[in-house]
Amino acid sequence: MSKKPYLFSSLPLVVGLLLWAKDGCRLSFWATKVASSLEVPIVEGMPELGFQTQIVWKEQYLSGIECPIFGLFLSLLFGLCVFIHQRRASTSSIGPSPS
Amino acid sequence: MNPLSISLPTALLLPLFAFAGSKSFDFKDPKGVNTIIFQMDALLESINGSGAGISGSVEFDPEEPSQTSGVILLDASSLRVDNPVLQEHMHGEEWLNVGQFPSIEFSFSQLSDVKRSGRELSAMAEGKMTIRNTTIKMKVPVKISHLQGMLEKRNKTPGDLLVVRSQFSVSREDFGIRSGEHLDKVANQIDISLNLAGAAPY
Repeated sequence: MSKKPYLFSSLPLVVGLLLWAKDGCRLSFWATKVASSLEVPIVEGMPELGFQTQIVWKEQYLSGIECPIFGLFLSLLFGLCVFIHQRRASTSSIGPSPS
Repeated sequence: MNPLSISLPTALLLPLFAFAGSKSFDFKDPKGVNTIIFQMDALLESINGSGAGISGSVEFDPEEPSQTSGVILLDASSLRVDNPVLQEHMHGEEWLNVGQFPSIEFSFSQLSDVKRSGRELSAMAEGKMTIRNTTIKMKVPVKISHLQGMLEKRNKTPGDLLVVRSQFSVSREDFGIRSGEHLDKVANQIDISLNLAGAAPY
């Protein structure tokens, strides 16, 4: 029984995990905006008077927990297909019993 | 009567009035820097966001800071989070219902436990918080800095600045926002941080 198809079927899970890790392994769902905070001086040129935090939203896609979950689901589906296919192939290669 | 005889003394006295008594500070920031930041840490999910639709006014007298009063309003539809579906749900009828309840309001009538440390005052603002038409009494810790004459350097208009900083928490069950529901994903406690600058032109 070849193991190569099983390795290929695990590809969606590996890709999903890599994408998720690249975007910071966030436990929440995907994001289409990223907030960055800027420290803006209350009066320009006078930092001794303190700063205000300004939140700037930038359009950016970040994958979330759905990415490895979807990858796992696809991998299991492909793995099941490979398993069924190989089982059928092995059954047909044995052929019908002589009795 | 010569109109100059009235306007000249008035013009001479005007700068004196500008520095006396309480002043009204407008918190609608033309620079768009005024922001509130909120954070909700639930077991499974952490939700962070901000709201920039700040308005309202505060009456402040540097000689009598305990008499400070005012209203800070937040346009509920200006609240943003990183996920578009989550934002839609947050604004929707079952959560904040921004269509029916467009603003979140904190009004306060006085400050207690006022302590001065250099330029900064720390105190407790005693007032009422209204979210989704539910009002509860709250005491919110605030730090206030009165920056006399600094508005000109910020907004190119002569006047004073009032900086209000605060960090406090509210719980959504107090305001009837789906109390007791989805606590694993949407925390009950909402941590709020704000750093606002108000302007009082002369």
